[in-house]
Amino acid sequence: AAILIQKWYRMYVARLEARRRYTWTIFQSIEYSGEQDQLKLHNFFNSMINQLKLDTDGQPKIARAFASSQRPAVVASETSDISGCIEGIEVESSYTGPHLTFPITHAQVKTLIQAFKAKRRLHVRYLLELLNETQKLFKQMKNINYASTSISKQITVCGDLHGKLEDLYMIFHKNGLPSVDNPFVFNGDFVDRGASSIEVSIILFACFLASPNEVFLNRGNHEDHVMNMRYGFMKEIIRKYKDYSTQVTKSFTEVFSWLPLATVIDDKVLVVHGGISQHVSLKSLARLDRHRVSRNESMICATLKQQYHLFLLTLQTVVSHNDCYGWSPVLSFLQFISVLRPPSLSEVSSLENVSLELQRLEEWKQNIFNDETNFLTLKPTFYVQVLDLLWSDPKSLMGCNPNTFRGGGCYFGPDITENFLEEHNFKLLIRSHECKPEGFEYNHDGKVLTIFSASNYYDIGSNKGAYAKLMGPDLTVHMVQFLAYQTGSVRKLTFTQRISCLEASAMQDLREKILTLKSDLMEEFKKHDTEETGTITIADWCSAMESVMDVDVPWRMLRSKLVKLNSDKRVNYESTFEELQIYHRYSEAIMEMLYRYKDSLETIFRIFDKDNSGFISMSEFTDACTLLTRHTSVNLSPNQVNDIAKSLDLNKDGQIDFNEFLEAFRIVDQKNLNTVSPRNTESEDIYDCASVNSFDEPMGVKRKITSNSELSNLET
Amino acid sequence: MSEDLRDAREVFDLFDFWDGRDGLVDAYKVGDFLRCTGLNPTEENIKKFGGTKNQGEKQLPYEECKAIWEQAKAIKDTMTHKDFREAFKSFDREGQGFISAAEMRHMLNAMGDRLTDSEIDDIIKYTDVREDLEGNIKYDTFIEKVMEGPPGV
Repeated sequence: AAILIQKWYRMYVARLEARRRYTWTIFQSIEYSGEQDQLKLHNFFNSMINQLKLDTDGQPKIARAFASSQRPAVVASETSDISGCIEGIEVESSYTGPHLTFPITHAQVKTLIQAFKAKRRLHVRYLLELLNETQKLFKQMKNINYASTSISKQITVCGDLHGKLEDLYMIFHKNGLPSVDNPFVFNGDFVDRGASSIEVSIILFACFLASPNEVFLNRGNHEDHVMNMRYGFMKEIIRKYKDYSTQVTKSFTEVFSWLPLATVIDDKVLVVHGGISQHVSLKSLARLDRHRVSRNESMICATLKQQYHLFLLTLQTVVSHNDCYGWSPVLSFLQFISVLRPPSLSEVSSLENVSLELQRLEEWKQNIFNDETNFLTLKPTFYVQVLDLLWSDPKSLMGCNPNTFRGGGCYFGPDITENFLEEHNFKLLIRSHECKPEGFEYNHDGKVLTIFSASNYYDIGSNKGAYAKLMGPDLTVHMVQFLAYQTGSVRKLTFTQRISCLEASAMQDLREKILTLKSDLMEEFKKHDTEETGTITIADWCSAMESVMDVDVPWRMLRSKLVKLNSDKRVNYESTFEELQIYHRYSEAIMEMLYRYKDSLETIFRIFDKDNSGFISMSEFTDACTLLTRHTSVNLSPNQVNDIAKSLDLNKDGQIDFNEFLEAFRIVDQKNLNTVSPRNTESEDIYDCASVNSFDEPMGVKRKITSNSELSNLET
Repeated sequence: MSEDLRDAREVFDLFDFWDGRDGLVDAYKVGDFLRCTGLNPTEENIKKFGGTKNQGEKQLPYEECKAIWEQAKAIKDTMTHKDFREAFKSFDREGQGFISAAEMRHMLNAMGDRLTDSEIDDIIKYTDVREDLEGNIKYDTFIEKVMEGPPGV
């Protein structure tokens, strides 16, 4: 009897743990596949922006959009653009928010915190001034911060915050504000996803200005304009500073581009956002010009194996449009190839020569990528190093492998860590970038420590946040964990209930992703259903799901929650889509496609919408779709694109309100006939541009979970 | 490949994912691995088949896990409600259908595949069993809950 009970208990615990883990896997897989997509777009746009030198007349809209959407981060500027933005903005007498004077003092940091707790917003003038001062100070700093604990005898390291103000408050509450005796390192990803990216940034920059020798800020992969367009920071700026969104965006982008890339503590510990790779060396990192993503580097980035076809495509695009662009951009393109291989540029004077050049390039590409070792011995470039620093993840496999999960940076193994630490005489690598259930995790035999400070990141109850205190002459690590919520009263949920809630949340995300690929899935299912019975085997269903969906989840385990079995244990595959339906106002034919590429389209829209009005013209939209077809494998004929454009212009005024477009999809839960809020896995629902008044938006809840969604308050 | 084996493969992949995606699963997770495939071996058997008590001692590739799974599958679980009641009855001095909670704790702590105090607390919590004023529990309901199996999977 004892054994029976004990076995029961162990089975219970094991299954609970398995559920918790695959829930996590679902959240993370969906998150990373979104990031992968975004990184591709990011590299694509950066290459386009850098490389196109365009004449001013006779250009198609795409070209003009890129030419005039100058991004400060990619063009070296002598003077700051920010001070230009500030001119002419006055603070009205009716303003009740916090006032800032420079230089910033510790008292002012406290004032800011109080003001934000009281739901005040910082006036745009002060915000721009703050960003200006921050940028000026960053400019004077090197790529690598050097922190010392000689005075304080200890230092605190925090990980990703992702706009979660309550987590920052929690850290300051538990650990005190930064000061001479209390130095901090903040390891990147201050913005995106959370509701208060602006306030978090303001407080961090204010702390930095008040104690520039005690507050160390590292750049994260989300301190980047293209990421911000997809993951919510842009939306937040537009919502909170509508009339000045262009200036604010520009200023933030400028500040981000000057953020240092890493911090070294006492010459013993390296803190960097993503990780390292075999290409990363502090010496060469120190020498590079971090502000200038130079053209060469982008081009080289574009030649990384997974981006190479994109590069060729771009080149071909330019060549095929040569009558509009003229020859200069073509030459510019070809010039950059010389960084890797000297072309015979002087001979490029006719279309035939360019074709020849392209042909040679194609051959060269074959050679170089057919031989892995050749590729890897290419001299590591600056951009690749920065990409690796900000995007890499530690794994247990040896060596350095491309990070296919994220689409950028690499997976680095214990040997890479070992060599790196030994070479620099460091004892520990601290990084962030990955959400961990306990808020932190050790890898590589204790040599790599991941710290993640945004609790409840995927959803309420998903994970704890943590920060590390490094103490004493040996910098011994003490971890502090926490959970932060926005509003007070939450009732107790048992551990099991919490897992069930989270699981429900993850399954919802997964179902929606499944919905976006409905037609592809049906096609795949039908392939297995040779006798047209409407059913297939479980094994076939699983392999169809695996091949069509691009998320790595345990389909067999989840099968019972996703699809129905009939009496002879075969899967009724149409029931995969039974529960949820997309409710929309567009025609059926294009609806699914639009929904699937919603996020990429949004990013492209934002690039076109320079004045952040939320409207783009029909012709700009048509261009955006064309870009989309270049970037993805979607094949759209010009007629189809026109059809889409017409149906999106709901009031037929020649303009597309893309905010309306984004909000136009509602997932309807067929079973309960409840309308679930507009789905967007990356950003919070509260980014509804219609409700501009609500500064005090509720944090954390991505969707309306059932009434059981309360939580226990676990403070460690 | 049988359905069961496919299930087992997926569970292995899930564990491997959490273990660092290197194709190996730490042997101290063998018990949990088997339980997630629907089997319910005793701790003794787990050790016999190749599981370890501590983390980091041994790493198992899929083939070895599969072999362990096959061994575990072969063992039949034969206890029924009746057997269970018989066992409890021997503790039930007064024949009233009650057993002292303290005695049950002791039993779980000292016999069979021993559990720790906090694990026993969890069991009480999960089965929602209540002690009466004299510290006894009605074991019939408790047996039912246990035979029902863990909820939600």
